[in-house]
Amino acid sequence: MTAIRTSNLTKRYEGVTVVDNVSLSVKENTVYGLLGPNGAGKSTLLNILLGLVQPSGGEATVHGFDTRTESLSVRERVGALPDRFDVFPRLTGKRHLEYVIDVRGDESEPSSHLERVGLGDAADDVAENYSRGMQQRLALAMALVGEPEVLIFDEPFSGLDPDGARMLRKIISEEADRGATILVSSHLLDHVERVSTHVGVLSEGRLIDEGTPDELRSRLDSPHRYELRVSSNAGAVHDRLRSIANISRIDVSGNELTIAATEPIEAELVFKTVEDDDIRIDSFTPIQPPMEELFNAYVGDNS
Amino acid sequence: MRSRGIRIFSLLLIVSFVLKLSAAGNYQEQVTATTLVIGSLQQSTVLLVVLGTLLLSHRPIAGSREDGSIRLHLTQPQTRFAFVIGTLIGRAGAMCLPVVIGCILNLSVGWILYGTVDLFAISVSFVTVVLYVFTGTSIGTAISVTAPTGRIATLGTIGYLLFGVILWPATGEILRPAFSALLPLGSAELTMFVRRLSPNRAYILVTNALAAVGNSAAPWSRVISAEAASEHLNLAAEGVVGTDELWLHPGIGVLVLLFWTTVPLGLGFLTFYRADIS
Repeated sequence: MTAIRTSNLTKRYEGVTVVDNVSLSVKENTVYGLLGPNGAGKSTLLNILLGLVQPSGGEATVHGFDTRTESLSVRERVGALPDRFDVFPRLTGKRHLEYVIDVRGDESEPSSHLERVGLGDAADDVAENYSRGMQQRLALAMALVGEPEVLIFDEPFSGLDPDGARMLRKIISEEADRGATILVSSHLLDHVERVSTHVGVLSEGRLIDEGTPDELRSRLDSPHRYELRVSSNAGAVHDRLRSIANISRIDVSGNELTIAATEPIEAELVFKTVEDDDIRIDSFTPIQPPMEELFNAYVGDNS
Repeated sequence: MRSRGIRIFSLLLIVSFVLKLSAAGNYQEQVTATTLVIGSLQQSTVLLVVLGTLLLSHRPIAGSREDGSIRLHLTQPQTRFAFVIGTLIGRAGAMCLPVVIGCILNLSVGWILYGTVDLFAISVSFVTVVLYVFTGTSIGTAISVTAPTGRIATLGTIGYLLFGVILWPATGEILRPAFSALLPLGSAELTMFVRRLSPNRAYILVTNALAAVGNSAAPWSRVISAEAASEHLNLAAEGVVGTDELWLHPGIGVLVLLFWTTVPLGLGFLTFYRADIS
Protein backbone atom coordinates (compact mmCIF):
# COMPACT_ATOMS: atom_id res chain seq x y z
CA MET A 1 0.00 0.00 0.00
CA THR A 2 1.22 3.48 -0.82
CA ALA A 3 1.07 5.95 2.04
CA ILE A 4 2.34 9.04 0.23
CA ARG A 5 2.14 9.62 -3.49
CA THR A 6 2.93 12.64 -5.63
CA SER A 7 2.24 12.81 -9.33
CA ASN A 8 3.94 15.43 -11.53
CA LEU A 9 3.91 17.72 -8.53
CA THR A 10 5.08 21.22 -9.44
CA LYS A 11 5.43 24.46 -7.54
CA ARG A 12 6.42 27.75 -9.08
CA TYR A 13 7.01 31.03 -7.27
CA GLU A 14 6.89 34.06 -9.54
CA GLY A 15 8.10 32.07 -12.53
CA VAL A 16 10.80 30.16 -10.62
CA THR A 17 10.17 26.42 -10.51
CA VAL A 18 10.97 25.16 -7.04
CA VAL A 19 9.44 21.68 -7.35
CA ASP A 20 9.55 20.32 -10.86
CA ASN A 21 7.26 17.44 -11.89
CA VAL A 22 8.07 15.29 -8.89
CA SER A 23 6.46 11.86 -8.88
CA LEU A 24 7.32 9.73 -5.89
CA SER A 25 5.64 7.10 -3.81
CA VAL A 26 6.30 6.10 -0.24
CA LYS A 27 5.06 2.69 0.76
CA GLU A 28 3.38 2.11 4.11
CA ASN A 29 5.66 1.33 7.03
CA THR A 30 8.83 2.53 5.36
CA VAL A 31 11.25 5.26 6.38
CA TYR A 32 11.83 7.37 3.30
CA GLY A 33 14.78 9.74 3.38
CA LEU A 34 14.49 12.73 1.08
CA LEU A 35 17.99 13.91 0.36
CA GLY A 36 19.06 17.09 -1.31
CA PRO A 37 21.17 20.17 -0.85
CA ASN A 38 19.71 23.36 0.58
CA GLY A 39 17.33 24.91 -1.92
CA ALA A 40 16.62 21.59 -3.67
CA GLY A 41 12.87 21.95 -2.98
CA LYS A 42 12.58 19.46 -0.11
CA SER A 43 10.76 21.79 2.29
CA THR A 44 8.38 23.03 -0.42
CA LEU A 45 7.53 19.44 -1.30
CA LEU A 46 6.83 18.57 2.34
CA ASN A 47 4.87 21.81 2.84
CA ILE A 48 2.63 20.80 -0.08
CA LEU A 49 2.04 17.43 1.58
CA LEU A 50 1.11 19.22 4.82
CA GLY A 51 -1.28 21.61 3.05
CA LEU A 52 0.81 24.66 3.93
CA VAL A 53 1.59 25.37 0.28
CA GLN A 54 -0.68 24.97 -2.73
CA PRO A 55 0.90 23.20 -5.71
CA SER A 56 1.00 24.93 -9.10
CA GLY A 57 0.43 21.61 -10.85
CA GLY A 58 0.18 17.88 -10.33
CA GLU A 59 -1.25 16.26 -7.26
CA ALA A 60 -0.25 14.80 -3.93
CA THR A 61 -2.08 12.34 -1.73
CA VAL A 62 -1.53 10.95 1.75
CA HIS A 63 -3.33 7.67 2.37
CA GLY A 64 -5.43 8.49 -0.66
CA PHE A 65 -6.50 11.94 0.57
CA ASP A 66 -5.73 14.86 -1.73
CA THR A 67 -3.54 17.40 0.08
CA ARG A 68 -5.26 20.27 -1.71
CA THR A 69 -8.91 19.39 -1.26
CA GLU A 70 -8.80 17.06 1.75
CA SER A 71 -6.01 18.61 3.76
CA LEU A 72 -7.84 18.22 7.06
CA SER A 73 -8.13 14.46 6.52
CA VAL A 74 -4.43 14.45 5.65
CA ARG A 75 -3.43 16.28 8.81
CA GLU A 76 -5.58 13.96 10.92
CA ARG A 77 -3.25 11.18 9.82
CA VAL A 78 0.03 13.07 9.84
CA GLY A 79 2.30 14.19 12.63
CA ALA A 80 4.62 16.90 11.38
CA LEU A 81 7.84 18.49 12.44
CA PRO A 82 8.04 21.46 10.08
CA ASP A 83 11.16 23.36 9.15
CA ARG A 84 11.74 26.98 10.26
CA PHE A 85 9.05 26.92 12.95
CA ASP A 86 8.96 28.93 16.14
CA VAL A 87 7.37 27.88 19.41
CA PHE A 88 4.32 29.65 20.81
CA PRO A 89 5.46 32.64 22.82
CA ARG A 90 4.80 32.58 26.57
CA LEU A 91 3.55 28.97 26.61
CA THR A 92 5.36 26.29 28.58
CA GLY A 93 6.46 23.04 26.99
CA LYS A 94 3.62 21.28 28.79
CA ARG A 95 1.03 23.74 27.41
CA HIS A 96 2.30 23.10 23.89
CA LEU A 97 1.59 19.41 24.37
CA GLU A 98 -1.78 20.07 26.00
CA TYR A 99 -2.76 22.14 22.96
CA VAL A 100 -1.91 19.38 20.49
CA ILE A 101 -3.49 16.68 22.66
CA ASP A 102 -6.65 18.79 22.77
CA VAL A 103 -6.72 19.46 19.01
CA ARG A 104 -6.12 15.78 18.22
CA GLY A 105 -8.67 14.59 20.78
CA ASP A 106 -6.01 12.38 22.32
CA GLU A 107 -6.02 11.29 25.93
CA SER A 108 -2.32 10.88 26.56
CA GLU A 109 -0.40 12.72 29.25
CA PRO A 110 1.81 15.64 28.13
CA SER A 111 4.55 14.45 30.47
CA SER A 112 4.87 11.09 28.69
CA HIS A 113 5.65 12.83 25.38
CA LEU A 114 8.01 15.35 26.97
CA GLU A 115 9.91 12.63 28.81
CA ARG A 116 10.24 10.63 25.61
CA VAL A 117 12.14 13.50 23.98
CA GLY A 118 14.15 14.32 27.10
CA LEU A 119 12.24 17.44 28.14
CA GLY A 120 10.60 16.05 31.27
CA ASP A 121 12.52 18.41 33.55
CA ALA A 122 11.75 21.46 31.40
CA ALA A 123 8.00 20.81 31.08
CA ASP A 124 7.00 23.88 33.08
CA ASP A 125 9.54 26.25 31.55
CA VAL A 126 8.42 28.78 28.96
CA ALA A 127 9.37 27.28 25.59
CA GLU A 128 10.52 30.65 24.27
CA ASN A 129 13.50 30.28 26.62
CA TYR A 130 14.41 26.79 25.35
CA SER A 131 17.55 26.34 23.27
CA ARG A 132 17.02 25.61 19.57
CA GLY A 133 17.69 21.93 20.17
CA MET A 134 15.10 21.82 22.97
CA GLN A 135 12.55 23.55 20.75
CA GLN A 136 13.26 20.95 18.07
CA ARG A 137 12.64 18.19 20.65
CA LEU A 138 9.41 19.91 21.71
CA ALA A 139 8.13 20.06 18.13
CA LEU A 140 9.07 16.40 17.73
CA ALA A 141 7.04 15.53 20.85
CA MET A 142 4.09 17.47 19.40
CA ALA A 143 4.37 15.53 16.13
CA LEU A 144 4.17 12.20 17.94
CA VAL A 145 0.91 12.90 19.78
CA GLY A 146 -1.87 10.51 18.80
CA GLU A 147 0.43 7.96 17.14
CA PRO A 148 -0.12 9.29 13.60
CA GLU A 149 -0.04 6.86 10.69
CA VAL A 150 2.40 9.12 8.85
CA LEU A 151 5.22 11.23 10.25
CA ILE A 152 6.73 14.02 8.15
CA PHE A 153 9.96 15.46 9.54
CA ASP A 154 11.58 18.38 7.74
CA GLU A 155 15.28 18.72 8.62
CA PRO A 156 14.66 17.08 12.02
CA PHE A 157 18.35 16.80 12.90
CA SER A 158 18.96 20.54 12.61
CA GLY A 159 19.86 22.05 15.94
CA LEU A 160 20.18 18.70 17.71
CA ASP A 161 23.35 17.78 19.56
CA PRO A 162 24.74 14.23 19.18
CA ASP A 163 22.58 13.02 22.08
CA GLY A 164 19.53 14.59 20.48
CA ALA A 165 20.33 13.05 17.10
CA ARG A 166 20.72 9.64 18.74
CA MET A 167 17.39 10.11 20.52
CA LEU A 168 15.70 11.08 17.24
CA ARG A 169 17.09 8.04 15.42
CA LYS A 170 15.80 5.83 18.25
CA ILE A 171 12.35 7.42 18.05
CA ILE A 172 12.24 7.01 14.27
CA SER A 173 13.13 3.35 14.71
CA GLU A 174 10.45 2.89 17.41
CA GLU A 175 7.82 4.63 15.32
CA ALA A 176 8.70 2.49 12.30
CA ASP A 177 8.35 -0.60 14.50
CA ARG A 178 4.92 0.70 15.54
CA GLY A 179 3.95 0.67 11.86
CA ALA A 180 4.20 4.36 11.01
CA THR A 181 5.31 5.60 7.61
CA ILE A 182 8.04 8.20 8.02
CA LEU A 183 9.24 10.78 5.52
CA VAL A 184 12.43 12.53 6.61
CA SER A 185 14.08 15.29 4.65
CA SER A 186 17.62 16.30 5.37
CA HIS A 187 20.83 17.50 3.86
CA LEU A 188 22.70 15.55 6.58
CA LEU A 189 23.39 12.35 4.71
CA ASP A 190 24.84 10.36 7.54
CA HIS A 191 21.69 10.65 9.65
CA VAL A 192 19.34 9.86 6.77
CA GLU A 193 21.39 6.86 5.73
CA ARG A 194 21.18 5.41 9.23
CA VAL A 195 17.41 5.60 9.52
CA SER A 196 16.03 5.19 5.99
CA THR A 197 14.80 2.08 4.27
CA HIS A 198 14.26 4.06 1.07
CA VAL A 199 15.91 7.19 -0.25
CA GLY A 200 14.99 9.81 -2.84
CA VAL A 201 17.45 12.36 -4.16
CA LEU A 202 16.10 15.80 -4.96
CA SER A 203 18.12 18.38 -6.87
CA GLU A 204 16.95 21.70 -8.31
CA GLY A 205 13.37 20.69 -7.68
CA ARG A 206 13.62 17.37 -9.56
CA LEU A 207 13.59 13.88 -8.11
CA ILE A 208 16.62 12.44 -9.81
CA ASP A 209 16.57 8.94 -8.31
CA GLU A 210 14.97 6.85 -5.62
CA GLY A 211 15.24 3.35 -4.22
CA THR A 212 16.70 1.50 -1.27
CA PRO A 213 20.15 2.72 -0.18
CA ASP A 214 21.64 -0.50 -1.63
CA GLU A 215 19.86 0.01 -4.94
CA LEU A 216 21.17 3.53 -5.19
CA ARG A 217 24.69 2.45 -4.29
CA SER A 218 24.59 -0.23 -6.96
CA ARG A 219 24.16 2.55 -9.52
CA LEU A 220 27.54 4.03 -8.70
CA ASP A 221 30.29 3.48 -11.29
CA SER A 222 32.23 1.51 -8.67
CA PRO A 223 29.63 0.15 -6.26
CA HIS A 224 31.85 -2.48 -4.57
CA ARG A 225 34.04 -1.31 -1.68
CA TYR A 226 36.57 -3.11 0.49
CA GLU A 227 38.71 -2.16 3.41
CA LEU A 228 42.14 -3.77 3.42
CA ARG A 229 44.43 -3.62 6.46
CA VAL A 230 48.05 -4.69 5.95
CA SER A 231 51.03 -5.15 8.27
CA SER A 232 53.31 -2.72 6.43
CA ASN A 233 54.31 -1.03 3.19
CA ALA A 234 50.86 0.11 2.04
CA GLY A 235 52.50 1.91 -0.90
CA ALA A 236 53.72 -1.35 -2.39
CA VAL A 237 50.33 -2.98 -1.76
CA HIS A 238 48.71 -0.12 -3.66
CA ASP A 239 50.92 -0.81 -6.68
CA ARG A 240 50.27 -4.58 -6.58
CA LEU A 241 46.48 -4.12 -6.37
CA ARG A 242 46.60 -2.06 -9.54
CA SER A 243 47.16 -5.27 -11.47
CA ILE A 244 43.71 -6.58 -10.51
CA ALA A 245 41.11 -5.88 -13.15
CA ASN A 246 37.90 -4.06 -12.08
CA ILE A 247 39.63 -2.02 -9.36
CA SER A 248 38.92 1.58 -10.23
CA ARG A 249 40.30 3.46 -7.23
CA ILE A 250 42.49 2.85 -4.19
CA ASP A 251 42.80 5.28 -1.30
CA VAL A 252 45.65 4.81 1.18
CA SER A 253 45.61 5.95 4.77
CA GLY A 254 48.47 4.56 6.89
CA ASN A 255 48.32 0.79 6.67
CA GLU A 256 44.69 0.88 5.61
CA LEU A 257 43.53 0.86 1.99
CA THR A 258 40.02 1.50 0.67
CA ILE A 259 39.33 -0.19 -2.64
CA ALA A 260 36.59 0.74 -5.11
CA ALA A 261 35.74 -1.83 -7.78
CA THR A 262 33.29 -2.07 -10.65
CA GLU A 263 32.75 -5.82 -9.99
CA PRO A 264 33.08 -7.99 -6.85
CA ILE A 265 36.64 -9.06 -6.00
CA GLU A 266 37.51 -12.50 -4.63
CA ALA A 267 39.38 -12.33 -1.29
CA GLU A 268 41.63 -15.17 -2.46
CA LEU A 269 42.81 -13.10 -5.42
CA VAL A 270 43.66 -10.17 -3.16
CA PHE A 271 45.60 -12.37 -0.72
CA LYS A 272 47.49 -13.97 -3.59
CA THR A 273 48.36 -10.63 -5.15
CA VAL A 274 49.36 -8.78 -2.00
CA GLU A 275 50.93 -11.18 0.48
CA ASP A 276 54.58 -12.21 0.41
CA ASP A 277 57.32 -12.69 3.03
CA ASP A 278 57.31 -8.98 3.94
CA ILE A 279 53.63 -8.01 3.66
CA ARG A 280 50.84 -9.73 5.57
CA ILE A 281 47.09 -8.95 5.31
CA ASP A 282 45.48 -8.32 8.74
CA SER A 283 41.93 -8.02 7.37
CA PHE A 284 39.99 -7.72 4.13
CA THR A 285 36.38 -6.60 4.59
CA PRO A 286 33.61 -5.61 2.15
CA ILE A 287 32.12 -2.23 3.13
CA GLN A 288 29.23 -0.03 1.94
CA PRO A 289 30.07 2.96 -0.25
CA PRO A 290 29.21 6.11 1.73
CA MET A 291 25.92 7.74 0.82
CA GLU A 292 27.75 11.01 0.52
CA GLU A 293 29.58 9.74 -2.49
CA LEU A 294 26.32 8.74 -4.09
CA PHE A 295 24.84 12.10 -3.26
CA ASN A 296 27.79 13.92 -4.79
CA ALA A 297 27.56 11.76 -7.89
CA TYR A 298 23.97 12.89 -8.34
CA VAL A 299 23.99 16.52 -7.41
CA GLY A 300 27.64 17.34 -8.11
CA ASP A 301 28.69 20.86 -7.29
CA ASN A 302 25.17 21.80 -6.20
CA SER A 303 25.75 20.18 -2.84
CA MET B 1 -5.62 38.50 32.50
CA ARG B 2 -2.04 37.31 32.15
CA SER B 3 -1.34 39.67 29.28
CA ARG B 4 0.20 42.98 30.27
CA GLY B 5 -1.79 44.69 27.50
CA ILE B 6 -5.08 43.41 28.92
CA ARG B 7 -4.10 44.56 32.42
CA ILE B 8 -3.27 48.06 31.18
CA PHE B 9 -6.50 48.13 29.17
CA SER B 10 -8.53 47.10 32.25
CA LEU B 11 -6.93 49.83 34.33
CA LEU B 12 -7.59 52.50 31.71
CA LEU B 13 -11.16 51.29 31.33
CA ILE B 14 -11.87 51.56 35.05
CA VAL B 15 -10.30 55.04 35.24
CA SER B 16 -12.35 56.07 32.21
CA PHE B 17 -15.57 54.68 33.73
CA VAL B 18 -14.98 56.61 36.96
CA LEU B 19 -14.21 59.89 35.15
CA LYS B 20 -17.10 59.67 32.68
CA LEU B 21 -19.58 58.58 35.36
CA SER B 22 -18.56 61.48 37.51
CA ALA B 23 -18.76 63.90 34.53
CA ALA B 24 -22.21 62.54 33.66
CA GLY B 25 -23.45 64.02 36.92
CA ASN B 26 -23.50 67.44 35.19
CA TYR B 27 -26.61 66.32 33.32
CA GLN B 28 -28.32 64.76 36.34
CA GLU B 29 -31.19 67.22 36.32
CA GLN B 30 -31.85 66.87 32.60
CA VAL B 31 -31.93 63.10 32.11
CA THR B 32 -32.65 59.80 33.88
CA ALA B 33 -30.18 57.61 35.75
CA THR B 34 -30.38 55.09 32.90
CA THR B 35 -29.23 57.71 30.40
CA LEU B 36 -26.37 58.73 32.68
CA VAL B 37 -25.19 55.16 33.14
CA ILE B 38 -25.44 54.17 29.46
CA GLY B 39 -24.05 57.53 28.36
CA SER B 40 -20.98 57.20 30.56
CA LEU B 41 -20.61 53.62 29.34
CA GLN B 42 -20.69 54.87 25.75
CA GLN B 43 -18.08 57.57 26.35
CA SER B 44 -15.80 55.25 28.31
CA THR B 45 -15.72 52.56 25.69
CA VAL B 46 -16.19 54.16 22.29
CA LEU B 47 -12.49 54.82 21.62
CA LEU B 48 -10.85 52.70 24.28
CA VAL B 49 -12.42 49.49 22.99
CA VAL B 50 -11.37 50.30 19.41
CA LEU B 51 -7.78 50.92 20.50
CA GLY B 52 -7.66 47.96 22.89
CA THR B 53 -9.15 45.44 20.48
CA LEU B 54 -6.99 46.57 17.56
CA LEU B 55 -3.82 46.51 19.64
CA LEU B 56 -4.62 43.03 20.92
CA SER B 57 -5.75 41.49 17.65
CA HIS B 58 -3.84 43.05 14.75
CA ARG B 59 -0.60 41.08 15.16
CA PRO B 60 -1.17 37.48 16.31
CA ILE B 61 -1.66 35.80 12.93
CA ALA B 62 0.64 38.10 10.94
CA GLY B 63 3.29 37.78 13.65
CA SER B 64 3.01 34.00 13.76
CA ARG B 65 3.40 33.88 9.96
CA GLU B 66 6.52 35.96 10.31
CA ASP B 67 8.15 33.97 13.11
CA GLY B 68 6.97 30.55 11.87
CA SER B 69 4.87 29.51 14.89
CA ILE B 70 1.86 29.35 12.56
CA ARG B 71 3.40 26.15 11.14
CA LEU B 72 2.82 24.42 14.47
CA HIS B 73 -0.85 25.49 14.32
CA LEU B 74 -1.57 24.70 10.69
CA THR B 75 0.06 21.28 10.70
CA GLN B 76 -2.47 20.19 13.32
CA PRO B 77 -5.79 18.65 12.30
CA GLN B 78 -7.75 21.89 12.27
CA THR B 79 -8.97 24.02 9.38
CA ARG B 80 -7.65 27.50 8.71
CA PHE B 81 -11.19 28.74 9.34
CA ALA B 82 -11.17 27.20 12.82
CA PHE B 83 -7.75 28.71 13.45
CA VAL B 84 -8.92 32.22 12.49
CA ILE B 85 -12.22 31.97 14.37
CA GLY B 86 -10.40 30.54 17.39
CA THR B 87 -8.02 33.50 17.32
CA LEU B 88 -10.96 35.93 17.06
CA ILE B 89 -12.92 34.35 19.90
CA GLY B 90 -9.85 34.02 22.11
CA ARG B 91 -8.87 37.68 21.68
CA ALA B 92 -12.42 39.01 21.92
CA GLY B 93 -13.07 36.85 24.97
CA ALA B 94 -9.96 38.20 26.65
CA MET B 95 -11.19 41.74 26.01
CA CYS B 96 -14.78 41.03 27.04
CA LEU B 97 -13.83 40.02 30.56
CA PRO B 98 -12.52 43.44 31.70
CA VAL B 99 -15.19 45.22 29.65
CA VAL B 100 -18.04 43.32 31.27
CA ILE B 101 -16.53 43.73 34.74
CA GLY B 102 -16.16 47.47 34.03
CA CYS B 103 -19.77 47.64 32.84
CA ILE B 104 -21.02 45.99 36.05
CA LEU B 105 -18.87 48.36 38.10
CA ASN B 106 -20.21 51.30 36.11
CA LEU B 107 -23.79 50.13 36.66
CA SER B 108 -23.29 49.60 40.38
CA VAL B 109 -21.67 52.99 41.01
CA GLY B 110 -24.17 54.73 38.69
CA TRP B 111 -27.08 53.16 40.54
CA ILE B 112 -25.69 54.32 43.88
CA LEU B 113 -24.99 57.87 42.62
CA TYR B 114 -27.99 58.53 40.42
CA GLY B 115 -30.75 56.15 41.47
CA THR B 116 -32.67 53.24 39.97
CA VAL B 117 -31.98 52.33 36.35
CA ASP B 118 -33.82 50.42 33.65
CA LEU B 119 -32.19 47.00 33.85
CA PHE B 120 -33.47 45.92 30.45
CA ALA B 121 -31.89 48.89 28.65
CA ILE B 122 -28.70 48.41 30.65
CA SER B 123 -28.56 44.69 29.79
CA VAL B 124 -29.02 45.40 26.08
CA SER B 125 -26.30 48.05 26.27
CA PHE B 126 -23.97 45.42 27.79
CA VAL B 127 -24.71 43.12 24.86
CA THR B 128 -24.00 46.04 22.50
CA VAL B 129 -20.62 46.64 24.15
CA VAL B 130 -19.78 42.96 23.72
CA LEU B 131 -20.77 43.18 20.05
CA TYR B 132 -18.59 46.28 19.74
CA VAL B 133 -15.66 44.36 21.26
CA PHE B 134 -16.18 41.61 18.68
CA THR B 135 -16.37 44.21 15.91
CA GLY B 136 -13.04 45.79 16.88
CA THR B 137 -11.39 42.40 17.37
CA SER B 138 -12.73 41.17 14.07
CA ILE B 139 -11.34 44.19 12.20
CA GLY B 140 -7.97 43.67 13.90
CA THR B 141 -8.05 39.96 13.06
CA ALA B 142 -8.95 40.80 9.44
CA ILE B 143 -5.84 43.00 9.25
CA SER B 144 -3.76 40.29 10.91
CA VAL B 145 -4.98 37.53 8.62
CA THR B 146 -4.31 39.58 5.49
CA ALA B 147 -0.90 41.05 6.33
CA PRO B 148 2.09 38.80 5.60
CA THR B 149 4.22 40.40 8.33
CA GLY B 150 3.68 42.04 11.70
CA ARG B 151 5.01 45.35 10.41
CA ILE B 152 2.49 45.47 7.56
CA ALA B 153 -0.26 44.58 10.05
CA THR B 154 0.79 47.53 12.23
CA LEU B 155 0.73 49.87 9.23
CA GLY B 156 -2.71 48.55 8.28
CA THR B 157 -3.96 49.19 11.80
CA ILE B 158 -2.63 52.75 11.81
CA GLY B 159 -4.29 53.28 8.43
CA TYR B 160 -7.60 51.99 9.74
CA LEU B 161 -7.42 54.16 12.88
CA LEU B 162 -6.64 57.19 10.74
CA PHE B 163 -9.21 56.76 8.02
CA GLY B 164 -11.77 54.46 9.64
CA VAL B 165 -12.00 56.23 13.00
CA ILE B 166 -10.33 59.64 13.27
CA LEU B 167 -10.99 61.03 9.80
CA TRP B 168 -14.22 59.15 9.17
CA PRO B 169 -16.54 62.04 10.09
CA ALA B 170 -14.70 64.19 7.57
CA THR B 171 -15.16 61.54 4.90
CA GLY B 172 -18.80 62.43 4.42
CA GLU B 173 -17.92 66.09 4.03
CA ILE B 174 -15.14 65.28 1.58
CA LEU B 175 -17.53 63.20 -0.48
CA ARG B 176 -20.34 65.73 -0.24
CA PRO B 177 -19.54 67.51 -3.55
CA ALA B 178 -19.65 64.16 -5.27
CA PHE B 179 -22.93 63.32 -3.55
CA SER B 180 -24.31 66.72 -4.55
CA ALA B 181 -23.42 66.08 -8.17
CA LEU B 182 -25.00 62.64 -8.08
CA LEU B 183 -27.99 63.33 -5.88
CA PRO B 184 -28.71 67.06 -5.75
CA LEU B 185 -31.75 66.57 -3.56
CA GLY B 186 -30.36 63.96 -1.18
CA SER B 187 -26.74 64.89 -0.67
CA ALA B 188 -27.20 66.04 2.94
CA GLU B 189 -28.88 62.78 3.86
CA LEU B 190 -26.25 60.73 2.07
CA THR B 191 -23.46 62.62 3.82
CA MET B 192 -25.08 61.94 7.16
CA PHE B 193 -25.63 58.30 6.27
CA VAL B 194 -21.97 57.81 5.32
CA ARG B 195 -20.92 59.27 8.66
CA ARG B 196 -22.97 56.60 10.40
CA LEU B 197 -21.24 53.76 8.64
CA SER B 198 -18.13 53.63 10.79
CA PRO B 199 -18.23 51.12 13.67
CA ASN B 200 -17.79 53.70 16.41
CA ARG B 201 -20.56 55.93 14.99
CA ALA B 202 -22.84 52.90 14.71
CA TYR B 203 -22.04 52.01 18.31
CA ILE B 204 -22.89 55.53 19.45
CA LEU B 205 -26.14 55.41 17.48
CA VAL B 206 -27.25 52.18 19.16
CA THR B 207 -26.22 53.23 22.68
CA ASN B 208 -27.87 56.64 22.23
CA ALA B 209 -31.09 54.87 21.41
CA LEU B 210 -30.72 52.67 24.52
CA ALA B 211 -29.98 55.78 26.58
CA ALA B 212 -33.16 57.32 25.19
CA VAL B 213 -31.45 60.35 23.67
CA GLY B 214 -32.72 59.79 20.14
CA ASN B 215 -31.21 58.47 16.97
CA SER B 216 -28.17 60.68 16.68
CA ALA B 217 -24.72 59.31 15.92
CA ALA B 218 -23.12 62.11 17.92
CA PRO B 219 -21.95 61.38 21.48
CA TRP B 220 -24.82 61.48 23.96
CA SER B 221 -23.50 64.44 25.96
CA ARG B 222 -23.32 66.57 22.84
CA VAL B 223 -26.84 65.59 21.94
CA ILE B 224 -28.34 66.69 25.24
CA SER B 225 -26.25 69.81 25.69
CA ALA B 226 -27.49 73.09 24.32
CA GLU B 227 -24.14 73.69 22.65
CA ALA B 228 -24.37 70.61 20.54
CA ALA B 229 -27.65 71.76 19.10
CA SER B 230 -25.92 74.68 17.45
CA GLU B 231 -23.20 72.51 16.02
CA HIS B 232 -23.54 70.66 12.76
CA LEU B 233 -23.83 67.16 14.16
CA ASN B 234 -27.07 65.37 13.90
CA LEU B 235 -28.87 65.95 17.05
CA ALA B 236 -30.54 67.29 14.43
CA ALA B 237 -31.50 64.09 12.81
CA GLU B 238 -35.08 64.53 13.88
CA GLY B 239 -35.30 68.15 12.85
CA VAL B 240 -33.59 67.69 9.51
CA VAL B 241 -35.09 64.60 8.03
CA GLY B 242 -37.60 63.23 10.43
CA THR B 243 -37.55 60.08 12.51
CA ASP B 244 -39.54 57.85 10.28
CA GLU B 245 -36.74 57.46 7.76
CA LEU B 246 -35.55 53.86 7.79
CA TRP B 247 -31.89 54.76 7.37
CA LEU B 248 -31.98 56.76 10.59
CA HIS B 249 -33.33 53.86 12.62
CA PRO B 250 -30.96 52.77 15.43
CA GLY B 251 -31.30 49.20 14.19
CA ILE B 252 -29.16 50.27 11.22
CA GLY B 253 -26.35 50.74 13.77
CA VAL B 254 -26.61 47.08 14.73
CA LEU B 255 -26.46 46.09 11.06
CA VAL B 256 -23.40 48.30 10.55
CA LEU B 257 -21.67 46.68 13.52
CA LEU B 258 -22.51 43.23 12.19
CA PHE B 259 -21.21 44.25 8.75
CA TRP B 260 -17.85 45.35 10.19
CA THR B 261 -17.72 42.20 12.33
CA THR B 262 -18.16 39.82 9.42
CA VAL B 263 -17.27 41.34 6.03
CA PRO B 264 -13.64 42.51 6.53
CA LEU B 265 -12.76 39.25 8.28
CA GLY B 266 -14.54 37.25 5.58
CA LEU B 267 -12.56 39.02 2.85
CA GLY B 268 -9.33 38.64 4.82
CA PHE B 269 -9.99 34.95 5.28
CA LEU B 270 -10.43 34.46 1.53
CA THR B 271 -6.83 35.63 1.00
CA PHE B 272 -5.55 33.55 3.91
CA TYR B 273 -7.45 30.40 2.96
CA ARG B 274 -5.30 29.68 -0.12
CA ALA B 275 -2.17 31.53 0.98
CA ASP B 276 1.15 29.67 0.91
CA ILE B 277 2.70 29.42 4.35
CA SER B 278 6.27 29.01 3.17
